[in-house]
Amino acid sequence: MIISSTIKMKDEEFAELADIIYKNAGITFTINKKYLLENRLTKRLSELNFSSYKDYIYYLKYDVKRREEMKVLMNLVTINETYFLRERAQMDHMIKKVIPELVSKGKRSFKIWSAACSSGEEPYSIAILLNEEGLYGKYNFDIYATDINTEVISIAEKGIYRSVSFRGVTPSIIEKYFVKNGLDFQLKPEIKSKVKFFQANLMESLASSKIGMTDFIFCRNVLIYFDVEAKKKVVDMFYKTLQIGGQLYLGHSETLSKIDDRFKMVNFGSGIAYVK
Amino acid sequence: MANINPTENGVVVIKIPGNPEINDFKDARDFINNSQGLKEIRLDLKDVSFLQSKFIAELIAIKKLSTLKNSKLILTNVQEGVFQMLEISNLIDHFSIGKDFRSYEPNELIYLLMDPELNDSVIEFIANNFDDTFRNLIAEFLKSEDPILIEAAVMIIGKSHSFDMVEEVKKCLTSPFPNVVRGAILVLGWFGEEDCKGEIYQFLKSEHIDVAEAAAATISLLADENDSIAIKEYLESPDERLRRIAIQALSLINDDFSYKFLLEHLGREKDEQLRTQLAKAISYYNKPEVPGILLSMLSENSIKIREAAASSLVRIKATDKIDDILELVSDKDVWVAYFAVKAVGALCKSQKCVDVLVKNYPKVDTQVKIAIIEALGNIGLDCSEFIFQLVEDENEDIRKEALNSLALINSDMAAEAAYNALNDKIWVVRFKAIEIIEDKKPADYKDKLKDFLKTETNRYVREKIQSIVGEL
Ligand SMILES: C[S@@+](CC[C@H](N)C(=O)[O-])C[C@H]1O[C@@H](n2cnc3c(N)ncnc32)[C@H](O)[C@@H]1O
Repeated sequence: MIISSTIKMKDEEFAELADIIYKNAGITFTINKKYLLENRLTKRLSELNFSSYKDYIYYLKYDVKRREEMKVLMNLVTINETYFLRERAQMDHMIKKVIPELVSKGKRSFKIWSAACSSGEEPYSIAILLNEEGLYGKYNFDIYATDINTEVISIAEKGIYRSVSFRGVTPSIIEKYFVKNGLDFQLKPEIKSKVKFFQANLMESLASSKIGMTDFIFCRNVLIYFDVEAKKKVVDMFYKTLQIGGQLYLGHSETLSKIDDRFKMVNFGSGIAYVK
Repeated sequence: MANINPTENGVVVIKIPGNPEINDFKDARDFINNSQGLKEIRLDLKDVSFLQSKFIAELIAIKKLSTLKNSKLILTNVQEGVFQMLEISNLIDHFSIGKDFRSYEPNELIYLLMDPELNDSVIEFIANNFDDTFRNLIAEFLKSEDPILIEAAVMIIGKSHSFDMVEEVKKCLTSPFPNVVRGAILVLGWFGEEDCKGEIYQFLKSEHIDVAEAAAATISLLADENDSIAIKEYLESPDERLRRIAIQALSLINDDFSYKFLLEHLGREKDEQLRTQLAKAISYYNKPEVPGILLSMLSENSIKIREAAASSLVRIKATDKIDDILELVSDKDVWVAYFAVKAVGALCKSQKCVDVLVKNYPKVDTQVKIAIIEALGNIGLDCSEFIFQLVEDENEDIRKEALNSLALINSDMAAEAAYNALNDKIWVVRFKAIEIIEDKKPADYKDKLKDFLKTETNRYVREKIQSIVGEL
């Protein structure tokens, strides 16, 4: 049913929902983003026949289906904006600088974790650049990609994209790695097979234990949605799961300043890496 | 140098440069100090990506000064690094933070449009400030191949009522991008472009549900009596999705014809989802037989249909069916019982209803218990003793709703209970208590809340109190 107007949220309801979302995913909504929650949840409420957020909150707390509903809620409230080769400099740094250094020290096997991969553009970009550099075949790469949102994970697994995902990608790369089918761009199997996807919530310590010790972590454009406490928790988890000398890459506006001082910040000119 | 821009209506925008120095903040302070009648100070931090600790003191000084001068201070366009700094210094709660799109060049706005959190507000902003610069900008968007920019252009044309650009919007109906088509359909509806109606009909069949729904909405906006008849055909379709869209369109048209067709269709439709939708659709018609139809749907087997029927009974004011609804309070399906209780709360004013609710209370699930307490508050008859004991219940939502209902029934008891509840271990209960105190305004309540603020740690409760007693 079309709802012509959004269902309005009372302050009390906002606080409770924001708290539920924060406790579950670390994502903080401040009151000036109330309208965002209203826009995103109105349709779900009407699907469930609810006319107020209070009804929905009680559904999330007491209904037998509350676990599944929490996933639905997470799918609705996360921002999944992403595109291929976004903030590419960090990927180049890993591939052209750090990996060769490690290779020279005898390392042959690398594990890379894209920790909030959205619909997969980030980990696939890494696979594409590794391939462009001719590193597949010479060394062994495991790319793991996770996200809390089950819908984006299933898009990633399909590997079918629209032109919005290619903002600023040169036509030659698109042609080389994708098959165009109407408006769809299907990622070719040789790249698709290089990334393993699964759902994981960064606020749960289980997230890293599914991955194990890793050499590179890309966690970009997600910490901005967390508050300091949640950031600290996630970054601590990253620290524990990185090998000594391992690199953590954050989004360009994100910083570990005052969050975790155990990492060494390396400014390589076109970007920043945090090294354990 | 801080760039200081006063406007006529008492608002000043002070822009701090990218790598600030102490003097930039001093300039700002001097200006504020020497000004009279400033209503609002916007400290624009758009270019500041990181703030050294020594500037934090400057920010606090500006905040103090603006409070002294009775001006509202807003930090605008705060970047992540600065935000984090304020958060770590525990200052976030003390500042209002906002966006001010006026500080951005048109090409920077493009970048902000790409951010899904900002997309809507940027569109609003451009539409509200539409001028030749923006006209040129959206002409660029329309020429681009980026579906987000094209959609934004269409929505801006719609929201700025730029009827002279309607041809551009019409062209977008043939765009390969579904989001653009959807936007164009909506805008043509707002513009009342009746000659497009025929063309928009074809989109009811679109494989993209958003496009089909937009078509249903626009057709209903442009509808005359022939449209219900035309759409009726779609109810016969073997395609379940098309029937769904047809039901949607008819219920939006909301005329006598559409009502008749929906009712006829209810007699035939077998699909559970669609019957659910029909229950809701019919409840939007103000017809005497609707409550009876909904009640009869309550005896269907599907839980979904029963829930939809029950929730629709809450929405319509079926006062004459209250006896039937009361029986549902003890229904085996939790949500049917829940909605029945809500309906009772909304419709009933008699002691009999209170008795039924109170009698059923011990037997029902937690959600229904909570709904019963809420309903008792809405009915408003005195049952404060029953509710007062629930203020001590072990479930926090029961305690919270009990406080709320008590406030509706008995002011004196509520204020007392609310003060006690300030010590509740669960924040939602404390939050409710504060709302009640704010509403009842007992003597010296602001001072008591200020005192309480010293020990409160929950961020939402703190924000709530600060909003009552004033910041910093
Ligand atoms: C804006 S996207 C960033 C995608 C990609 N890393 C990039 O930079 O383009 C943010 C992603 O973080 C995910 N996310 C948010 N909270 C999360 C959590 N607690 N655990 C895992 N992923 C989360 C969202 O679902 C979303 O897909």
